[in-house]
Amino acid sequence: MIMKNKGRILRIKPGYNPNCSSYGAALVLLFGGPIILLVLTTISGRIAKIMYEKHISKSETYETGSI
Amino acid sequence: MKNISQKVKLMKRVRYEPFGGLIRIENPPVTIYVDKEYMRNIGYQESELWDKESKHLSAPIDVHFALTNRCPLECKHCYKSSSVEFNEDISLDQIKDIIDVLADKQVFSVAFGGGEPFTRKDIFEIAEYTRNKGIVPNVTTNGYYITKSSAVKCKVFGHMHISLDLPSEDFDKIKNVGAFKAAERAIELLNQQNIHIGINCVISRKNFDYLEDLVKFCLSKNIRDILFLRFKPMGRADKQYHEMKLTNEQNTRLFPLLKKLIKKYRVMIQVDCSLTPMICFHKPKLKLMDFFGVQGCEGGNSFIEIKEDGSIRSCSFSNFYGDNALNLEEIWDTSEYFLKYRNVTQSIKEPCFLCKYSEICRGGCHVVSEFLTADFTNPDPECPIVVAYNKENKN
Repeated sequence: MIMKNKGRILRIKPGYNPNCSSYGAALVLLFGGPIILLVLTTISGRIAKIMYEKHISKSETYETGSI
Repeated sequence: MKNISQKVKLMKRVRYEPFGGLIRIENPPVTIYVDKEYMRNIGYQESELWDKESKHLSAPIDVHFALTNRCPLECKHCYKSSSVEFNEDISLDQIKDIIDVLADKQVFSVAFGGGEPFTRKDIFEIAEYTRNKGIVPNVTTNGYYITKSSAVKCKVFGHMHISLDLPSEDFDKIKNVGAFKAAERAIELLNQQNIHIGINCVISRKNFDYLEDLVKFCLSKNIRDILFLRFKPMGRADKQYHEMKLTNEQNTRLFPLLKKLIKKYRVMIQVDCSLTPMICFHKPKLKLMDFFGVQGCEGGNSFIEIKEDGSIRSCSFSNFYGDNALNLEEIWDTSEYFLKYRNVTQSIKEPCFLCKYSEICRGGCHVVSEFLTADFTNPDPECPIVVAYNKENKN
């Protein structure tokens, strides 16, 4: 079910922007190393979940004929 | 019915853009920019936006919403000149109408601020309403009004940040009497509820040498998210700007210092977009900066601000505003408020013109440029590269 992703990830911006005045950026990722691997692995898992949910939602739509 | 609600939920997390799309994941919080092929691959078919040759987003990702300009602390360097006197709050109905507009535009999150947003008794109703519309409500507070019972209700927020510039009563000397106690008490109460909090710290000449102490304090309170913000010449802060802004020597030391703190204490440090020149000065890998969204001014594109009267501006520090947020759909592509910010690099001058970081840094903070040089499009005069360039050209 989970196929290999085609297409490209152009940018990953971690963190919320909880601040009411400025747009934050996480510095830790500039230093490379294991943290990047961790972020990418976690994100791959979450995207796989989105793909799965989308797939389920589509299947249910076809079955019930609703939007 | 179940299908419809599932679809609505999905639409809030994935949004079409001219370049492909945006995916927002709540846990861990991350926004992912993907191309069209990637969108197709995760099940999102063609969009009319994909035929559009637009360099800006289809809507802001985050919206900063100043719910009031009332604040009990009246800090000496408040960029909004907030005060206890303010009593012209935007109404709850107006706020809800604006949130509806933001939901239609598929904005991912709203950062509530002010003034002090908790001076509003309806803050939780606003947050609930926002969440029910599929938008993550975040908030920045000084902590003054956080009580045991309100702390429980704060679970509605996606993320809370407490303003704290120094980890001791000395904070009161920078801000105002009671600022430290308010922040400390709020941290304790929110920690008791296991609410994930972060710290907003405005870096100035007064606290630059104490940033490590602040990080240690945060760790002692189990806080690992710290956002460092640049001192900006707005509101009451403009009068003390020259005595509070970082020196050039501090600006050049900032990135190595933050790097040291991250490595030593393993904290998640973020910087606001106006500090990007101080990062670029140390020549980090351009591709990494771009890929992980460490970028300069994104006002009028990734984020906008809605003022306490419902009017829009490109950034919280801009003097340039007017249209009502209810008109966001009509004005998003064409409004001069947004174009001024989006197009700022089109007329970029030296030394930014030849700087390889200029597309990412975008010439630094143009609010500071406007304040110090009376020209919004000038390079940020406090960027260490610009300082060196100006010095060389003077001699």
